[in-house]
Amino acid sequence: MPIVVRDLHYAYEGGTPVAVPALRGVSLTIGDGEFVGLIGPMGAGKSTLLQFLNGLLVPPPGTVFVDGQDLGAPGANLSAVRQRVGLVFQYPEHQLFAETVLADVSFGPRNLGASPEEARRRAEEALAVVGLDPALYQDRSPFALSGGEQRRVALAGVLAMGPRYLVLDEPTAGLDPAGRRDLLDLLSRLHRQEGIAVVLVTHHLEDVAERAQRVILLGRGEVVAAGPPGNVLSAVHRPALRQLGLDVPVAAQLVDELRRRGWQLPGELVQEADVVSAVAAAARRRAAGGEGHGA
Amino acid sequence: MALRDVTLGQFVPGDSVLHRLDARVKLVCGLVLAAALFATGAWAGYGLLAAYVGLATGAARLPAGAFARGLRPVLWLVALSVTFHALLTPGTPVVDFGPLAVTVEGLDAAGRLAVRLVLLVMGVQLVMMTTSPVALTDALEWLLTPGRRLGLPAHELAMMVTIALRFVPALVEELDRIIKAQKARGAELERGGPISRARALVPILVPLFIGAFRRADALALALESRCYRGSLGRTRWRASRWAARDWTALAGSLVVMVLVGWRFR
Repeated sequence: MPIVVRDLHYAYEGGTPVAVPALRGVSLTIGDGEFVGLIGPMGAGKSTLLQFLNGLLVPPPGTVFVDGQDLGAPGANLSAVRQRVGLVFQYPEHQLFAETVLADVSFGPRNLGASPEEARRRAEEALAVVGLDPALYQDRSPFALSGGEQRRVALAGVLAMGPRYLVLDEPTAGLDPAGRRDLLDLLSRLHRQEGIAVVLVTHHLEDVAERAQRVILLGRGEVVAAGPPGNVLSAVHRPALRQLGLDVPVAAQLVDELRRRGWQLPGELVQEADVVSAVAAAARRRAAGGEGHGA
Repeated sequence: MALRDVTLGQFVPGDSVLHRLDARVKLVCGLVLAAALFATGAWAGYGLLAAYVGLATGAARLPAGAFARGLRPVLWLVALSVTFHALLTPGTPVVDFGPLAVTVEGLDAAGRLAVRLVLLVMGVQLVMMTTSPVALTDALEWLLTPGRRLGLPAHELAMMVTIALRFVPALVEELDRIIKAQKARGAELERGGPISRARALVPILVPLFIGAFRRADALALALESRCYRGSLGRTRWRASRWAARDWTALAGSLVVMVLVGWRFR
């Protein structure tokens, strides 16, 4: 069962003269077990949209459905929805509060009514999933950890609730390249092995080009384009991407430049590995003289 | 929605007469008003001060809704003290509740107290809402300057107030974000008895305080890296001068207050 958003409108300070429209009729679907990249510049409405997906902002009736449940219906069970849709905010390490890592990570399960033993078991599992050995970390203070470790603890705090959907707002912001790659690898692993649907919000198109099955491009509160990464990041949408101030992945830029110089590169090439093999193949053909030089 | 009430008395930009008055004049008038309110005990004095505050309120041309919202929390205090005064002052009973009685003297005292409190808060609100925080702290520094001889760090105190005011909106925003993050982890803030409610605040207040300290650290570094060293040899960018309207307003206000304090004790 998917998350369905149907024609969602929202304005901050709604109903007053200073209303600021944030979402203007957004419709989208997040499939069960899907890896979706949600991209868009600052102010596109990404963070606002996320808060509707787990009922932090209550949508109008009939606009947001999680596994068939209307989040806007009166008396909707929002705590069940928040368990199913795990939301990881930007800089999630800023929400850590407990004296020990274990206490912090088990906060979510305890709120859901798990017994102390059950909460502990789930917290340990979640810590192991994010790559922190529970035996080494659980009794330490979260504030004594490095920034990257703190972020993992915060992520574990959401995973311990056992979500079916994981929604992350700029999870790699402020991480170094290695930390960034590790975190994205972790998300891919959660998606592949646990079957968790991942919604990755970012303005780094590289991240979603490499990992997402589907990309949704949001601009000024509207869905501008949606589809497989090769499609959304294809030449057709480049002007829209540039207009929104988003950088096309370097590999795709290279393909554009080579094509301009007359290289024959078939297909939608946005992923690094595809680009490398396509360029290598084309270079071999050119070296063999099978293709017009200097065209 | 409840969070918006935190920013009470926030500056509302405008160009009314009150907005254009020098912040120092407004600050002094506010202080003298407070003194006059407590110096006078006569209804005629209250009437005169009420007219003065009413005139200033009209001249400030503030949005009525925002102004009234600021008064709301005080009304609780007023209601509470009026009740106690009316019931517990001995004298001629108006209504008798057995051991307790509403007395004429009690109603009189309660009325005076209510008028004092409401006028005082209205005065404070007028100053706060028509004066930008920067101008207000400059005025505060000016007011504290005589204390420097006694070792009072006037500039530093004023700077601290400016920074504190400046960070209120940022902290409110951060508070909102933390509440949402903990709600996303299933936190229930509005359920249970007083103890479980108080306990539910821990996951919110701890990150808020840590965030405030983090901001303070960053701000201290930013100030130092721009060679801030307190009041030593510091000049002012906005040098405010007293205009004719400032003298007029100050003189007019002082006349009213002195009259009230002296004639209607």
